[in-house]
Amino acid sequence: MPRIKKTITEALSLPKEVMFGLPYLTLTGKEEILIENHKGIIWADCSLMKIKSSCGIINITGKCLSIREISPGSIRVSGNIEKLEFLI
Amino acid sequence: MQSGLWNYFSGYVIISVKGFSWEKFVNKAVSTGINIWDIKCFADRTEMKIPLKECGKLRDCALKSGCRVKILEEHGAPFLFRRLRKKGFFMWGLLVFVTFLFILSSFIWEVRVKGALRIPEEDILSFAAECGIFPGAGRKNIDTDEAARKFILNFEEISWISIDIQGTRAEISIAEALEEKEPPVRSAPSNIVADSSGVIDRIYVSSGTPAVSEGDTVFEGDILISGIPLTPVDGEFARGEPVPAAGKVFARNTYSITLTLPKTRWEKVFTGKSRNLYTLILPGKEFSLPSFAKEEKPFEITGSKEKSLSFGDYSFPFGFKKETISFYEEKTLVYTENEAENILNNRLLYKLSGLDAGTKILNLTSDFSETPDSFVLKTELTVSESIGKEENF
Repeated sequence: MPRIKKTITEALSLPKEVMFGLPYLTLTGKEEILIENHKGIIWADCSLMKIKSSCGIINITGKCLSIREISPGSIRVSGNIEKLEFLI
Repeated sequence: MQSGLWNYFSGYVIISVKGFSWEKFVNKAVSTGINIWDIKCFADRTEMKIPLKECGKLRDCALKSGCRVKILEEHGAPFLFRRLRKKGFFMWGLLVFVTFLFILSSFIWEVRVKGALRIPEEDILSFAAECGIFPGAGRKNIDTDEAARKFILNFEEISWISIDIQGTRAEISIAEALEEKEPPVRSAPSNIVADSSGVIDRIYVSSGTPAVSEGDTVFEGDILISGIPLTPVDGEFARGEPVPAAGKVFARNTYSITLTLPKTRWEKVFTGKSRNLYTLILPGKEFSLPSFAKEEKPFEITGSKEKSLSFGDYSFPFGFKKETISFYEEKTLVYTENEAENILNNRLLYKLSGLDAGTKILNLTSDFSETPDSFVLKTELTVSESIGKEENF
């Protein structure tokens, strides 16, 4: 079933983040990151942020990190971002 | 995502969350639809901002996540109004002020005119007042299209007008029509005659028939260009209708200029001594303050400074005047030959610069000589100059 869904999505050029609920990341320089379709915070402090998503944990490492805004659909993290990784 | 202004108007609170896992509290709150912003982590607590209307849901989230929540600060318009409600007089004053401002802003306070060059601004303003545009007029009562139409009908000079109401200011922009030029008056038939004698050098005719040719000698009063046009017809000349003759006739003339310069001259030689004189200025009168210095040779005022007492922009009608006088001696000096020649040449150039435009210098010979008491520069000059003047039939 997911295979059919993927084929249809690719054939019709539909947005994957809508069809599969994948996280949609918007990085502004290395100062701000906007993550849409998140599933909550696992850990947050000034140097590390762990955010749950449908494709695993998004690990943000940096300095002076802070959550500027969080809503059911999105989370905006600002600070001096040094590393961004996915932990599966 | 809501703007900061919206959050301010709807009100928000800063809360402090203490407990084992504040992340759990945030996840619970977000899943119940609460927007949270500006999360700051401290060693013992976490602070965050949430909307005022969502405060009721916090208790449930706190219980489920095992955290303790405390409201630290209250911000925004609802809290401000709650505080101001206790100050009734202030609120009434604010209300009266806003009402007063609203009423005043519904009137015109200034009328400006732009683009009026020939039409006096006072005329435009007085007519605008007749059309209902004047300081103090209600904005709603002004019909700008109707007023613009009246302006166009009343002022012939206006070719375009725009009346714009910007806030409490009415701006009348106008474009004036170009001035109507009077058609050129056809002048009476005339000849061009010589106003001095000479040998014709050049002749240019734009209207009429030339009566002389190059090389002819003419005398004062001779016709140079005739106002009667002659047209060749079958080997003969037919006289046409008389016209005003026009053109330029240049003739060669020779002049002699003699310039003299006396060998000696008087000159002021300042001795280097100077003194200050003080005068007291009173309304309508001036008093010179006495000077105890000994009177010396002739002097000249070389500096003057006046200062009146003033307070801010207001000047009092009294003050002081300080004049500096410098003493000099009159000495007799003698020109050298070179100096005299330079001065006389400069004077000659100055004289030549006064010649009419179009005059050409064909030949110039100068002779510098010396008499017992002066220097003399004799110049022979041949010029080609305009000699024509208009004379009616």
